[in-house]
Amino acid sequence: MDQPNAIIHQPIRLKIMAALKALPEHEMLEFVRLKTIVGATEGNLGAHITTLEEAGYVRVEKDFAGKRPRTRVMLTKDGRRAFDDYVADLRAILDGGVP
Amino acid sequence: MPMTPAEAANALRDIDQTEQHSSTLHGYEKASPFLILWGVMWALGYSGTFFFPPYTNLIWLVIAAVGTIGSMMLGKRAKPAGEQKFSWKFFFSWLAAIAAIASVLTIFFPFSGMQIGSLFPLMIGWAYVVLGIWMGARLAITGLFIVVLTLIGFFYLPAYFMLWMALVGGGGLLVGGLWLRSA
Repeated sequence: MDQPNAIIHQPIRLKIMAALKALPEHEMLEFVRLKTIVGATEGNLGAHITTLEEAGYVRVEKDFAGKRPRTRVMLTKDGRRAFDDYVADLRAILDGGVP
Repeated sequence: MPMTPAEAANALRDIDQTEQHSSTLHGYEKASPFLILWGVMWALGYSGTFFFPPYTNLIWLVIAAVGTIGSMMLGKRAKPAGEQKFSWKFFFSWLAAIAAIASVLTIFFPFSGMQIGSLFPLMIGWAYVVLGIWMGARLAITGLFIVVLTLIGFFYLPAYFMLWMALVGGGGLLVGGLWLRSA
């Protein structure tokens, strides 16, 4: 393998996955907060979330909090597993092994 | 092109930093409604004690009951959908905390209103400092402010202590909660 999971490896998507992985299982993160953590523009973040959603790694939910529209994102089981595998691959590279 | 160990190390460092940041903000998000609720409760309790001293016990009984029920509702709301059931562990933890303070008070009896009015903010302030050491600086700073302002009120403003605590204790928690939410 040339490099670990190419979908996750992109820097913005890596941060999105890491930010979501830090939450307890089934917890969702608001898009606005994710934007602060990742430090991406709204459009850029939205595009990367779509890529992760199409890969089945994240789930996006749109609803209203009172009258305010809200977009929330959470890691799926597949996403959690893929991210764990990705981190394991990084550690293997660091330890001199082949991912 | 294969990934080098240096690139892998950079990616792991990015992951670690992002996870820490996310975890801190998540903690703030969960803690802030509790601080805001208790900020309002303290402001009402201490100002009630200042303006209507004969009703002090009744005021704090109501404040404790409303605050406890409110905290339980907030705790339930903070859980993800589908896991929002009544938490007996939370309920008994709360009871244990009240029992702990009550049992400590029994050995210090008799105490003044100012002493008991300082004890809770001091203990809670320090608890926030300890929590903040683990969860994030803003919580620790909020706790430290409450401790310092309580001591200032206790030693330098005894005549207006209850009013001072309503403003800086209740207000401090309220502002702290809003500060956490804005992070």
